[in-house]
Amino acid sequence: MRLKAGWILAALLLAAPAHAGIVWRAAAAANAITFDAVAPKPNDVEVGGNLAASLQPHISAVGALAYGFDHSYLRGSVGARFTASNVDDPNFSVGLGMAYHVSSEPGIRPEGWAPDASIGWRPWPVDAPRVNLILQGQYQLEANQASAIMGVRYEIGGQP
Amino acid sequence: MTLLQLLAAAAGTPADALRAIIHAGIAASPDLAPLLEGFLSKLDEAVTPESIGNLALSLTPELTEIFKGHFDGRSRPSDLA
Repeated sequence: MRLKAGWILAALLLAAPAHAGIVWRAAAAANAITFDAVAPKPNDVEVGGNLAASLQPHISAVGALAYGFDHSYLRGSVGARFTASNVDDPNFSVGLGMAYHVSSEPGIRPEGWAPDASIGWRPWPVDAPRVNLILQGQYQLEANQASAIMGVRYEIGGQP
Repeated sequence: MTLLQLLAAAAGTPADALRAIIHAGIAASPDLAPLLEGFLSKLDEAVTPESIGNLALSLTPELTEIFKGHFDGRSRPSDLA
């Protein structure tokens, strides 16, 4: 009986967002990434996508997938981020988070946990509301490798 | 058997205790109050397939509005980094 009640409640909770319009934020991504202190920068150019869901006013679940052209790698990450935005300017925000990274080429893009710090800016909220510019620094804890990303995001679907 | 008694049996708690928990939730959370008050108003109905269906249908719009309000307007640029 308890199990059935749980399934009914879970079904209701899962069904609700499907009717709620946009719950998740998705974006197509292009990045310049630097992870090698010695080699010419940027070390690679990536394309991919990002997903984010604001779970609480200042906590978001985030995920990313990217392909690096020069080194031919595919990397992904899933994590959480504490975000803060200016009340007077919702088009600029900063975030601190932690994500778990996986990679098709661990020797190039390490796998494991990495804390990160991010800045996001919507520079043309009227003319181009779907365009975001981002900067992110992260540090791979196991590999002791720092990396930085500068990129552009184009939000997909829903209202930006 | 009423819907409240059915849910209380599922939760392994007395029906009066479950009603008190719902009232506490209404008092503690203004955001959830419309959902919980609507939910509570239907729990005294007898258990029938129709009453269970009506209860499920009444929950979905409330949950939808809660989720929609929860996430709307919270697109932060740094979330997409």
